[in-house]
Amino acid sequence: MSVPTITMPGAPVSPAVRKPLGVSRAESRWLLWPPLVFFAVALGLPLLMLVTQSFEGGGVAYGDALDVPTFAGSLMRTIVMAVVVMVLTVVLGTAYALAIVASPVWLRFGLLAALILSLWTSIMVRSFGWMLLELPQGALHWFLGLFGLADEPLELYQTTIGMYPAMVAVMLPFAVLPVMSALQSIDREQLNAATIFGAGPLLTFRSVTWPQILPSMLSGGVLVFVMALGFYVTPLLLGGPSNMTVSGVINAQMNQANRPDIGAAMSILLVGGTMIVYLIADRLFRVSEKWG
Amino acid sequence: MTIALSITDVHVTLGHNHVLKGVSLDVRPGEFVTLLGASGSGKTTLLNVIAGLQAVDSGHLTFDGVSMERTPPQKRNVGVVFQSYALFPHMSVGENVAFPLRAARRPARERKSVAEEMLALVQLPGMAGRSPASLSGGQRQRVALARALAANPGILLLDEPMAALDKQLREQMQVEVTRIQRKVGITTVSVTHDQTEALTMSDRVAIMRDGILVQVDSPEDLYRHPVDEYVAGFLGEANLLPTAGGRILDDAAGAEVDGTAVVRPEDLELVPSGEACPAWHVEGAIHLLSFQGTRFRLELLTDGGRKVVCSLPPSIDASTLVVGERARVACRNPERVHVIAATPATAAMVAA
Repeated sequence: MSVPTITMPGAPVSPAVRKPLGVSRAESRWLLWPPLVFFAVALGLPLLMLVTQSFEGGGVAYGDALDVPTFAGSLMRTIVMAVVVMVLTVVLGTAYALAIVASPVWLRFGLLAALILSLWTSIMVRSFGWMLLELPQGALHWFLGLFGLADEPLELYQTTIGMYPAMVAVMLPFAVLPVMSALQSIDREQLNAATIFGAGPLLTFRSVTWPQILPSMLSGGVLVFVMALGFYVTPLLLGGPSNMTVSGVINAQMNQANRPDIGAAMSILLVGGTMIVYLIADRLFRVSEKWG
Repeated sequence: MTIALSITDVHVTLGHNHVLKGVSLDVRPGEFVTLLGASGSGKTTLLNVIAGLQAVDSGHLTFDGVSMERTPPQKRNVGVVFQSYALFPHMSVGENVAFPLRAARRPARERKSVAEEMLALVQLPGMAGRSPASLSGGQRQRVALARALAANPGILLLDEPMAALDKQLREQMQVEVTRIQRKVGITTVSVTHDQTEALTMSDRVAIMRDGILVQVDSPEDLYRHPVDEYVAGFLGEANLLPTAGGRILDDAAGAEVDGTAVVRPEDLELVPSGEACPAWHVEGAIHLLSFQGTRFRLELLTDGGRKVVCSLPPSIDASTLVVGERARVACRNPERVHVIAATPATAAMVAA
């Protein structure tokens, strides 16, 4: 027992009889362990701690959570916000995807690059970018000033109106990508067929394109809605205190009110509610299939 | 209302690719013409030109004498059966068939009755409510055909109509499509790379190669009198042998070759060694003999190293045909031998 050996579950003991890699499915099953362990540690453990924390007072925290006056209000606000963001993002995202597919090559490359780059940039950075745009004497103010349109400082920063464009921009890739892939998988011959049989662009879109991208629009929308339920940074920076989301209320309980158990209970309620919404939507619109 | 199609000196360039290099073709009203060629020969491009999906660099296209070059595809009143059929997956069979009428803003009652009439024509009565996904390949093709004919087009275009069907169904549908085409009496241009399909269905076949129509003729004339070696080899099996002065010249070196003889395998027969031989004959060693049900396929290898294929009736006594033995085969009817004159490239073009 001098040399520590690593044995993998199901791996052959003797190297002599070892088959070439990838021969049987069972032999490669150990490859699943690293990601599973990672998920257990990175996702399962904190969630478990959160659950234990929320039950520290024997479930009292849940009752208290619902009694916190800001919670119910912020929950409603968050849901309304998520719905608005979802609708705006899906409409704009579909338009963006159509523009990508219909563009000449050079423009398509530019539109795609803009989308992917924004996906790669942290939400924090993008939210700060919008902040610089919207500040009373910010970039937008300066730009309008060029045309002599900005006499007074802008009242956009930390308002509800100022918050939505940023949130839609943050979520846009998640609505664009599935619609784009649906558009690209439409059979060219079907579009040709519609044209040959006399349909103009409007009827072609309505009868061929629309029915084939609708499922992807719905699944993109569900994804955006679910993600928007957990929005924290963007509304905090751009929406101001009057637009506090559930995540903001949880943060206040954890860090300011010094009631981590109530914060934990609220978190569990939010995560659980989100999961229920997602599972129902997945059943209805098959969201996970669209995201492979 | 079927139309006469006329294509004159059409050129098409896609990128740096000169796809159609001066194609001219006239199709009479009600005629079935098939464009036959290998992939990349430009036949689908020519079909797209007729449909209006492909613009031309130069040349003319007329329907019944009316110029169509500036007419968008929506206004040309053509019916197309696409290679993948391109049925709209979320519409019912009836809605698919009635789509051309919907695009033309015809009332719903007319659409319904035309759809039923068309489905009856393609022998799918009562299928209007089904979804295309629930149909078999052959049924989908019938629906595609019904849709192509629904708006009473002047010309029907078929793009590789049988490509997606298996062999047995293909033969059945060839007969069926021809029946419907004859019944409707519509001018039809079809595209295929399947020679059997072209010969079975068409009044005339246009052989296409590298963006040019090499020969346009009835199936029998194409088979009997090909203008060049390419056409001869493309349609069915052919023995292409050098010839001089009415006989086959196996050892062509040094001799004055005046053409290429096209001899079909079924026109050759065995000549026993004692008998006198007709002028059109060739001798060689038996290379391969195979029984194919309706015929024996005999392959000879001549002294000059040429392969000669010969179809023998299944009734012959095959025991005398031993691989390696010498044999003579001859064509007794000189009319069955077609000679392509020498310097084929230029001479054949002029003859065409």
